[in-house]
This record gives sequence, structure tokens and C-alpha cells, in this order.
Amino acid sequence: MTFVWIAIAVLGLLLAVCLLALVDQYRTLELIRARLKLEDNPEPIQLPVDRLIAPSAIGLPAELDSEPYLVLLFLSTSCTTCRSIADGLRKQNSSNLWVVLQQAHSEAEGAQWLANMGIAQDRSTVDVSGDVAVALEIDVIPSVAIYRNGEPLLAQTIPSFRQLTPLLSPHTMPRSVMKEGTVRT
Amino acid sequence: MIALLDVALRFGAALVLLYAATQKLAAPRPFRQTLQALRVPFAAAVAIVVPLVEIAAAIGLTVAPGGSAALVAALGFAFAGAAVVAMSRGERIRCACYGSTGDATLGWRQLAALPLWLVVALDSFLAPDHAWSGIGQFAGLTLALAVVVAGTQLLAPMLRNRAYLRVLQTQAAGKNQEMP
Repeated sequence: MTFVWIAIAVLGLLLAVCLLALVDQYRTLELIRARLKLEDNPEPIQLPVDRLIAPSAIGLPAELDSEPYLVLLFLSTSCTTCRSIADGLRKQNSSNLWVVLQQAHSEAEGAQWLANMGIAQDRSTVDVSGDVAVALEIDVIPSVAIYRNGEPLLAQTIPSFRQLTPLLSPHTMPRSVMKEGTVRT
Repeated sequence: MIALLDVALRFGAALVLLYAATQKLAAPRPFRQTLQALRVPFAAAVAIVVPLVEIAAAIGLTVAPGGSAALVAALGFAFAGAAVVAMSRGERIRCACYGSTGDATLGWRQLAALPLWLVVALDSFLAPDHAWSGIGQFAGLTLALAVVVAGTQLLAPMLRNRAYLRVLQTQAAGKNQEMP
């Protein structure tokens, strides 16, 4: 019986060492991702505070001004992450969402892209000139701007669909995100 | 009551020693660097020997408490001695007491811990009858350590990594769709 206990003790020790070595590997991996800026973390975007940026003031339909919670999602026809985010929206669409499509060469090309991605055209804008993004000073795509009753609440980059999911509803929006990225006017 | 205190003291100290030893064995580099900063000769060899001594002390505390008192006291004095050397040189030397975790430096903590190590050593030497000691208890302690490590240290980074890989997978799927 003593031999069995010794074997268990040795295996237990080896297990602990292996688990800690694995922890060390994960830490190293996270360090490498942080150094190479490969982390899946959203960055807050500073919205302009010196002018009116309600949806109607930046070239979007006026009825959006009265929406109690509006998620303005900026996607591009040429970015891979935008495609994966659009794919995610197929499974989890939101009535609060309005897509602003960037970098389409024409309205028709943009409409085709939206149709391919299954995004409703009555809840999207093809921003061929890029005026909407310029008005919000958004130069990183994909990103999101959130409005409450026409008032801008926050804007941030969206590196993955995972980061967009909690923002799609006011009930799931994390308070920490509001604090970090909130730019109130 | 005294027997319970004795068991708590010995097993608590043994768990700390085991945790420190396994951390050092899992990632030996930080501790080796600490030894090099302390200008300890044969630092690479000492970096392996110290965790083995810590394991031996933990075994002693749980299997044969009476015989481990000197080892525990020696470890306590060694840790405090390292702190004294670092403080006397006025150098900020990373502790690496628990391997790569923590950024604490060698100093007052190790000195403050010395009386605790001596109490553990005295208890294991003087307590007349050590209840609940044996190789089975040590085996249980190693398994408990593995469970604690898995739950408190491994689970969180593992889940973060899993979520990150999922993001990469969705992005890769999007890229494949994009290709003609």
C-alpha cells in the first residue's frame, strides 16, 4: 500500500508541476499577444464634442434620432473581421442595429455586399463617400457608436463579434464598457 | 485542539513549500535569475536543488514531522539570509519565491516569515504526538495542490485562450469565404 501512496504522491507532484508549466505557457502567450497587439480588446474612440453628431446630423435617417437605443455598426467591404462580424449577426440580429458600410465603390456594390451578408438594407446605409465615419471621426473599422435617444453614448473599435454581442442590447451592455469608453455630450 | 493546530500548521506550511517548489520547477528561469542576482555560485544547480529541498521539507512535515524541523528551520534562515544580503547591498532583487508569479522583491517579507518558519519547525520538533501524518496524507496534499492550481491559476487563462481562439476561428472562416 505504501508503494501506491508513493506513486500517487509522485504523480500528484508531477501533475502540479505540469499544470503550473501550462499556466506559465498561457502567461507567455498572453504576453506575446499583448506585445504584438494581437489582443481581442476593444479600444475606445473619442467622439467629437464640439458639434452635433446625432444620427440625422451626420447623414443618417432622422428617425434614428428617436430610437431609445441605437447601435451604429461600421463595417467595411474589404476587411475580414467585418465579414466574421456580419456572419455573427446572421445568428444574432438585433432590432437596435444600424449598419454603416464603408469603402464600397458604389451604392450597388455596397448593397450587394450587405445582401450577401444577410444584412437588411432597410437597417443599413452604404456610406460611399465616407462622410458618416468622418463626421464621427471614426477611422478604425470595424467599430461601433452607441446612441441613446439620439445622444451619443460611446464609441469603440470592435475587434471581434464577441466584443459586439454585449453591446447589441442595453440590457447586456456591461457597465465597465460604459465607464471606459463613454463620451457624453 | 492542539492536535488540530499542529495538523493545520504542518499541512499549511507543507502546502506553501510544495507550491513554491512546483512553481520553481515549472518555470525555473526567474528563480535562477534571482540566485544570479544574489551572486550565488552554481546558480543553475542551486535553482534545482532548492525546490527539491522544499519538497523534502514538505514530505518531512507530513510524513515524519519530528525529523523535518531542522530542514524547515534551515529553509527559513536561507530565505531570510537572502533577504538580508539583498537589503545590505541596497539592491532590488526580485523574489521569485513562487516562481514566475508576483513582482515582490527580497526584503522584509522574508525576514517577517522567519519566525513563522521557526514556529513550524518547533511544532514539528516538540509536539509529542503528530496526529494525521503519513505518506497517504502527503499524496493527498499533492493532489489537493494540483486541484487548487487548476482551479485558481489554470482555468482563467485557459478560458481566455479558448475565447481568443474562437475569435481567430471565426475570422479564419470569414477569410475562407472571401477567397474565390
